[in-house]
Amino acid sequence: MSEPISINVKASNDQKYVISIKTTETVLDFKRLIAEKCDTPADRMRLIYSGRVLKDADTLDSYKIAEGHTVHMVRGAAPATPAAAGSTAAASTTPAAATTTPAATTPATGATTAPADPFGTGALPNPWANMMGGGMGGMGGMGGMGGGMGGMGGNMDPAMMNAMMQDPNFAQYMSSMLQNPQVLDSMIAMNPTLAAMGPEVRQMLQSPQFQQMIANPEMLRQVAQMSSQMGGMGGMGGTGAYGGAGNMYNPWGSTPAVTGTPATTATPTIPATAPGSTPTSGAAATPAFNPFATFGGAPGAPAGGVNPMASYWAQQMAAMGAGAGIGATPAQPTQPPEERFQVQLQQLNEMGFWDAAKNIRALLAAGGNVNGAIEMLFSGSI
Amino acid sequence: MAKIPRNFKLLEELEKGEKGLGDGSCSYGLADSDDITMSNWNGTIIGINNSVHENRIYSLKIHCGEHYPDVPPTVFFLSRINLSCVNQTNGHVDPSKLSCLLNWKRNYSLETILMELRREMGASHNRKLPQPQEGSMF
Repeated sequence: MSEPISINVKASNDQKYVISIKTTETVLDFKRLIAEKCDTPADRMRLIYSGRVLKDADTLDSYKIAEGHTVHMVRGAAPATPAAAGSTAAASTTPAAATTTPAATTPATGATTAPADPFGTGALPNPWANMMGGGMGGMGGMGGMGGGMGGMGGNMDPAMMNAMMQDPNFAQYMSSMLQNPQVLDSMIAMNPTLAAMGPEVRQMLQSPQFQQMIANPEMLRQVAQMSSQMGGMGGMGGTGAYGGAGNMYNPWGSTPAVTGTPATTATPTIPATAPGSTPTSGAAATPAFNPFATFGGAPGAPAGGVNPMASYWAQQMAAMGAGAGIGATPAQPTQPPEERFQVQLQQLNEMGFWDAAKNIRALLAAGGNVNGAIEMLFSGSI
Repeated sequence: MAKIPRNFKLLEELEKGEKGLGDGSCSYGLADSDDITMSNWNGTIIGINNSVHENRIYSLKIHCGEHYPDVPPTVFFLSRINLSCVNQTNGHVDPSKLSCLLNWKRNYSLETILMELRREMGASHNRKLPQPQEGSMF
């Protein structure tokens, strides 16, 4: 057995590698070879084959791995990164203690039935993310962190949202939250696109301009109005206004990209070069060219600028606010998408879509509609 | 429809396990690849995200009796886990508490069981259960 064989390695993040190795080599050697092709260090890799966790010292022979077989790779928990559950709890409980104002408590009533899990589902599909390359893609991706926000949006009264935004405590809470390195860590850790952006993200989030934008209720309100317009327009009643734009597959999503409206094209490029100035540029984009307005014909609604990033932030904040509210009411059931879409996932699985992560993304994007999810899976847009 | 004989069915499952078809959250294979009866299997479940099980790997052993797939296999957790359907002294998965074992059908597979167990981890009545130290065994 000295002929090298090729073994497929399937990582948990959908990546696939083909490694050529002799079966007389040890598992550790195998891990080192994989480590050359991906960014997971060998000591954090855990390999699974045929229902067994491979031990470093054993040879591949001893597990009878043969040509063309597949080994699953799981990234072990890093000691530095806080566990997901822990950080979610930390994020939602600490600020809640600080703010017991209406800002935090009102949305909670709206959100009690909602599966609001602010940081839980990091990798949501984001129609904008694809359309803006590079840095902005990363920013857009943050919208996804809103998690179960779609559901929450449905239950949230715009008036409440307004009240929340006007509350100075809310702004204060937001900025204190962003100053908390732990929260930032967990946000960044949860989102691969953010993580890929490196240290600038942190800088940007903590930059005073950004804080200022957050602290400006006027700005937020505009953004909220705009995103509610967009949500309504998409005809996505199920998800509700605020969720619509961010988490849903938005039929209008591609429109701005195609037409290349000034607002949308201007924003993405700026953060890529100067992350620190993003918030300001976001604000600058407010002067309104709103392609959605023409579709929706929402008369009387002040047209906010088309600033996808800002609207994500509004949603994001809404989610965080809800998170805080939840922190105040213990025993809040947080339903991850795996659970919410259990039936649909099973259906997809039976149809031969085995990739659960992809299925979840598709289902989230399609708002739980199996047919929609299938369409997205086939179109390859997920 | 013709009934698929036990060995054909298990061979098919074995191949699926080795090729790593499926979503990668569950894996399974023969405990002893020389065992021509294909009775004893190993399985692993990778804990679902957004739960205490995230990044954990649970090992199981599965025994397919000679009447498989007419009767469901017996399933034991090797890694310690706190789930309502798992016997806390020996890791045995109680067939009366896991619906796919209770309502077993011929076309179910080992993967069906592993996937259902994985879903159980995220089920509301299990989510909040305190979990033992990672890596501890029954």
